Amino acid sequence: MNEQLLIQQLQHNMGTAFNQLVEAYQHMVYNTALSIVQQQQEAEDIAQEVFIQVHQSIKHFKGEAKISTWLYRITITKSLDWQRHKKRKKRFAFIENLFGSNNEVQHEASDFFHPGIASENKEQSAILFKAINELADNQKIAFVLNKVEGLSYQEVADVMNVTVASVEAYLHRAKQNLRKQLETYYKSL
Amino acid sequence: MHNEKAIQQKIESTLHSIDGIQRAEIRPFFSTRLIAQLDKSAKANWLQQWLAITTKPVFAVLALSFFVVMNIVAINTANHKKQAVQASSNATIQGFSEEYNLSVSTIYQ
Repeated sequence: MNEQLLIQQLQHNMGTAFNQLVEAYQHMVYNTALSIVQQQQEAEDIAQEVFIQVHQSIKHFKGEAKISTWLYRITITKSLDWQRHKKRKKRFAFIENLFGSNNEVQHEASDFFHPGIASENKEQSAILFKAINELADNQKIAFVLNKVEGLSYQEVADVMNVTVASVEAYLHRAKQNLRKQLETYYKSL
Repeated sequence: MHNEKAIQQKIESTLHSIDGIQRAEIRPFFSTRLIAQLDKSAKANWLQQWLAITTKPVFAVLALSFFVVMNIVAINTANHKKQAVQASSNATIQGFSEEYNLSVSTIYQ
């Protein structure tokens, strides 16, 4: 369906148009959230939140960017918010442990195996995803959009609202930092 | 594993382990779950909006004024009705006494 027509139908609150939007973009939204939060249930919850926000704010969508760009932005914002919230909770749990109010042992998150990875690469990709998780937000987003979602530099720049040169710089730094992390990891074995 | 060359190879192969990654697909019936969630959040929104309006001081003042005005109207209406009933009851008694000549006569009559 023509994107402009879909937006018009969505803005006039047509149920079928919203269903079409969900059908067309659900895997894209889920996959992006999954690559960032690295937990399947959480990624699905985030995908739900993204479409709820779309449903509530479609009237304010001016159509200046593509629908996919808009959806990527919402998904990334929500995923990063979720990660920050999780980190805060972790820090709070650590402080609680220090003061002895919670005697439970805190477990580290288990390895993340992306369902779209070939089985022979599962182990190595789990190590890579752990390293991706440690990157700064801008580097992480640029890397995920380019390497996992397969977006071009221009598309990544549109989503992140930066120049192509900035995207190149983020990706360069991301690769450098990943190399450093992986080196430390393999040397420690 | 401290062989530098082997480590560099490992790093490169790890970095390329996501090449050709396929898109992960969400569990089936996502739209059904989403619509249920949308209904739930719409109800929650309606309740939130209702609470936001009803807890405003302006709303409380308006509700109180309405209550006072309604009370005044009700009291006035009740008073009018009472007066009307009393007037009609007086007229009936007077008519009755006149009809049967029960009116009190003076000593001069």
